[in-house]
Amino acid sequence: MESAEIKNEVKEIISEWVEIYTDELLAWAFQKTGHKDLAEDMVQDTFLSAIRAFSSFQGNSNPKTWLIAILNNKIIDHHRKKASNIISNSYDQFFNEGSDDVFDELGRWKKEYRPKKLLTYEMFLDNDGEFFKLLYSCMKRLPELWYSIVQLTYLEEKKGSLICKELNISSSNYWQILRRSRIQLRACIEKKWEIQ
Amino acid sequence: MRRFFIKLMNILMLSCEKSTELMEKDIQNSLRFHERVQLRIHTGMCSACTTYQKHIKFIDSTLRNNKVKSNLSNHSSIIKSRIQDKIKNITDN
Repeated sequence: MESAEIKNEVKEIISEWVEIYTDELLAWAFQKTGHKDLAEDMVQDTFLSAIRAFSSFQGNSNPKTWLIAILNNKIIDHHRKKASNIISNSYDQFFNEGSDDVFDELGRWKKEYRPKKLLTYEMFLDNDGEFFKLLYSCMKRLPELWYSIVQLTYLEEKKGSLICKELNISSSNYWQILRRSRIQLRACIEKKWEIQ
Repeated sequence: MRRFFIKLMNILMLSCEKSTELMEKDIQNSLRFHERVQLRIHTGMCSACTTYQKHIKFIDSTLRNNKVKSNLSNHSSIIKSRIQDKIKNITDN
């Protein structure tokens, strides 16, 4: 049968891609979800989806780009579901978590949170360096809702207002979450850097 | 005159907390002109906020640039063969 033949051909191609691209897709999915098992499941699903959707792959495009696009949809979906779930169930708790003890009543930095000049431009430029590692390990310490929202913000090439609509949160809450995430991330990187 | 002075001081004397809000807007390119001026004035006087601004720009561009760092490759061969099995077992129809 013709369709079975095509299918086998497709399976062979995808099978080759599994050998070539799995490592990179895994690293990507891990970086964007922070969960190893989840990343593995998503990569597996990506290849299985690729078989089903193979007719939409244009031979002249780059397989990796195509696979990453499929994977990204799965990652975005995951964060969207997760965020929506938290928002509808325990939003107040997650929104207020870890919040503003950073500033005093006059809106000045509290002493222990005052940014220090420890992190330098050189350190940030060094791409294989500590800054990158520290950033991602600090990301995982964000409250879950914040984590998903930060990831969605950088994964979806959309305006913030659209993300708010999707998640059904006000834009001011959305900006506050991003701002607080950044404050927390920065403080975490600095603290870890200091310890080293 | 006095009211004008108080108003002027309020505009000039941004709190650090408020200025981190403006920096967030700045990252999203939605800072208005007068806010930009306010922020400039504040960071001109406040070294903590200047440092903060520099750091969150590092963080923003690192997240934006989306480089992949491989750090779990040591057992990827197991995962690969697991996926290969799944592919083999897809029934043709």
